[in-house]
Amino acid sequence: MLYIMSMKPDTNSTFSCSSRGTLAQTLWLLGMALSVAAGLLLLALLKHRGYPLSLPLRILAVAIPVACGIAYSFRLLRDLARLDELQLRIQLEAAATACLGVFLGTILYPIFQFAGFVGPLRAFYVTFLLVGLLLAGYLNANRRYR
Amino acid sequence: MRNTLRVLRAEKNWSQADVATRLGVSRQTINAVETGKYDPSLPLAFGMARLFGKRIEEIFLPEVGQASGLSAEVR
Repeated sequence: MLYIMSMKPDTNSTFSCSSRGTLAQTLWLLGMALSVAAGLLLLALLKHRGYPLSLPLRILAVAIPVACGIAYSFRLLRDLARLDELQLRIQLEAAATACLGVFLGTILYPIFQFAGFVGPLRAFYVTFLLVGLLLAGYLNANRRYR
Repeated sequence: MRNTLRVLRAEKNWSQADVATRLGVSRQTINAVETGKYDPSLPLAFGMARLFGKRIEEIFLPEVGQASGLSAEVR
């Protein structure tokens, strides 16, 4: 996802990811993040002040980020399908790097935890690892084919 | 795999971007093919051959010492 966002628009090619597509992806992702933050803040504030959290409000707080997330996913997949073969290969290598890293990390983590080197694993860290490896894999593959 | 893409492109006086636009791929793809870092797919190779009015084997050549890609049994 990050590598698609970081792609520079190539105005010389009819096949590459357009800047409009990149902007749309960024906006949907931003919308999802902001609506999650706003929803959490609103619900926490209402709960803290003792107001009842009505069902329509809770549904709305959940539905907006989910809708943005779905729109983002569709946009990302559509832009992926429009990439040319070299870009697809670059992104395949990036995805493989991320999957392999997360797979090894999650498989090996219990032994590190049991040995007392690390604390309990949080899903949040896995997300960071995934995105970090995706970005590193993309940059590495992109540099190789430059 | 070696190729004569750069020479053919120079003969036509086209930039990498020109070729990329005509073939519907990114300029990075053309550059990677020219420098031998990336072997194109068969459809793209056919597209290049058609664009330059050549046969595929006139554009793409095996590396020195590289076999035709067939195993010894098949050969």
